[in-house]
Amino acid sequence: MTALIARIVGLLGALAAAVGLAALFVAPELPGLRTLALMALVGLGSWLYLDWPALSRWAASHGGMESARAGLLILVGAGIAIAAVVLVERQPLRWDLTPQKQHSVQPRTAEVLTSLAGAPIEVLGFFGLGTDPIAARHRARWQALASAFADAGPTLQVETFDPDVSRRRADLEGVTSNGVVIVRRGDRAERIYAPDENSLLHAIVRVANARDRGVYVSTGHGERSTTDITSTSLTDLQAELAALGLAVQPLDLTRSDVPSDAAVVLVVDPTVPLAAPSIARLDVFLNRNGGLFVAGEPGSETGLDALLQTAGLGLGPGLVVDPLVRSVTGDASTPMVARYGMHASVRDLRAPAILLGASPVVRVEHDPLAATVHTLALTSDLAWAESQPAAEPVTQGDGDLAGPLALLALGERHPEGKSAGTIVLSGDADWLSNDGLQSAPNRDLVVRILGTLAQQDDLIALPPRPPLEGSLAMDWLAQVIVGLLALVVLPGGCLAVATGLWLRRRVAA
Amino acid sequence: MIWHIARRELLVRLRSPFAWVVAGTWLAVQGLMFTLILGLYLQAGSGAADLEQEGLPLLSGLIEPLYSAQSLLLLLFMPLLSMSLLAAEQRGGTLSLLLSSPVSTLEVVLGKWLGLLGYVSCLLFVGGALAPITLVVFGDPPLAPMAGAALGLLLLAAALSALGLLASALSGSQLVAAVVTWTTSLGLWLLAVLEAGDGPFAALGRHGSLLVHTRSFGRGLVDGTDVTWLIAFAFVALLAAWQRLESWRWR
Repeated sequence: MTALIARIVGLLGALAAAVGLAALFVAPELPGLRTLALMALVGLGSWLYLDWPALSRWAASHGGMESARAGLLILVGAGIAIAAVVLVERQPLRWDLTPQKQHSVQPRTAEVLTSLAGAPIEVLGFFGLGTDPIAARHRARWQALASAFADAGPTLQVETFDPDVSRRRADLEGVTSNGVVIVRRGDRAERIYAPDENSLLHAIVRVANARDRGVYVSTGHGERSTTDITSTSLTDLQAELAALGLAVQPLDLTRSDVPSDAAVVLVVDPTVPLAAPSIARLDVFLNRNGGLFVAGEPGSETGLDALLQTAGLGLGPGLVVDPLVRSVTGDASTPMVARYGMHASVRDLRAPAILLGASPVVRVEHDPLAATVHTLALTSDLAWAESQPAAEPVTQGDGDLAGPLALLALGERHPEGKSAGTIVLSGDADWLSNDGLQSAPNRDLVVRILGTLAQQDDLIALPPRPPLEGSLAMDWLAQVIVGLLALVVLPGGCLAVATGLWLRRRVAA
Repeated sequence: MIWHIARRELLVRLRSPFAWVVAGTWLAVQGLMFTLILGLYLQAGSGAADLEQEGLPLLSGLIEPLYSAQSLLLLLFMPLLSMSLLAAEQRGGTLSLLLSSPVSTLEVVLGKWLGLLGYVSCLLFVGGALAPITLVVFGDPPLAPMAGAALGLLLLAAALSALGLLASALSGSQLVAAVVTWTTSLGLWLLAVLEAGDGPFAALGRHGSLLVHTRSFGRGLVDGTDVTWLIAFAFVALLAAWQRLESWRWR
């Protein structure tokens, strides 16, 4: 009985030793390694002590000697094999056999990544497996990108998590959806969505450059407050941006210029039109490739029409009415986003954001060489801009702008081919307020847009990759011939040989 | 002597009706997968052409799925092919005869492993040559990624053959050997699901899974870590099988 207990304890000790050794190689940071080592010592020691007579008899026998020798040889062999794998893993060797080198970063990226010095930079990708084939494709694409960056950047520590499986980590990082990448060095962090080589490289460069960047909210013209906690103020937005690593500060445009560390300036619902000096300050800031977010309320005058026009943007007349929304929100004048645009900031968004009474955003006449307009969010086709919202019943009149209407649009200024800032325009300010941000899609939308605006500087131009090579063209007859060969001729030939061999054996027998 | 044993092992298989039935079944399943994947690829291509869009790239649309299908076939069929390597010799009593001959146990193990690997390579590259030939005749495939995929399949076959040989050495029953090989290889394959998680389990999935260490070959990427992992896996399994056979000799 004692021998049996000793052997069970010894087996558990051996198991602890094996798990501990494996963990030492694959996850040396594991907290329980000392406990495992202690368990292994106690288990194996107890076995040796309690079962010593039987063990010594076995060890003295020929079988015991041979088994010990074989066991030792296998252990040494396994150790050599594991050491070889670990060694190769630490000095990665990869051969990208694709003609377009699609598993490798571009030379310019490699150059930038190699030049990064200092503390390691964490790159955490949150991509779920789920059952959605699109999610699986995004995850595979991310893994290829992550692995190419990890190989090219010695200071990068790249990890991938499934937010549904690693919920604790996702909660810790404030990740609520798939497709989020966090790039962090120390207390500086950047978030990117739908990452590609360009956006990931830019995020890494921004994190590596020890330069604090912030969001400034304009004051001095009756704008929404970031300090008073009311349903219409912007305190929740401030908290959301702080989570992105963007400090939010008030900025009195009537008195001071936009500081050099500003990444984005928000002008939210000014009740008094901005004066010329304020507008000039914003223009200077935009020319430094800054990002401006303007949110006006229907019927209000921002004074920014001329500045918005330089980006091809303007606010249209009337109030957006969407009969399709009535069944959801009970009010046709609280338009819901029916579809998002193709711009990187909103490309993967699905859940509809809800605006609380909005003017449509329109493209105004502009030089196409000086500005590019992207529609970010649209109403349904049934919507229109009601020019007489007070009239009952609310029906589409002849002079009303017909849907689909843009609720949000982004204009990139590039006079003479030089980047001169980006402006995002919304015909509603309430959706950014504490009331509006109760809705998760609204939070996602504003965080994405401001995150994109904050990333407009530090740009490194990467040339586009050549299209993927390889083609295949088969007509119907060729497909049938290949199908017959694959399904009938080859397997049938093998079965015929098998039958022939079997018959020959039968005859011989 | 190793080559002699390997040649004998290969010839025994080529003269066995069972091996040809397995080969026929293998080729039928492989043919079915190839036809389905090819059909889907061509359909997607014509759909894209109707919409005046760019079709699926040949590598991710056809070569990678074909590689994955071949890997799965290896996983499913290898236990059937390897189960008789030493288990049949033990059951039939010919193992003692083999061990009493002037051949070292290491030569027996390596010879049998190479013989099985030769047979599987024939199935993979002679029987399965239809897919690359079709691509070359009717298309313009990138050849280097196809060579990478072939290397991946060969390394996977080498690792699974070694595992099958070990299972066959451990058990006198062919059925037990097949079940052990199948469950072990499938378990190692499915470890990949842990990769999506966090902490030590994710590390186990990343470092221990067969799937993780074979999938990049199909994407046109040969990773030194994967190559070393598969060779190391085969090495340890062969070492263990050799020592198991040694124990038969001193018994």
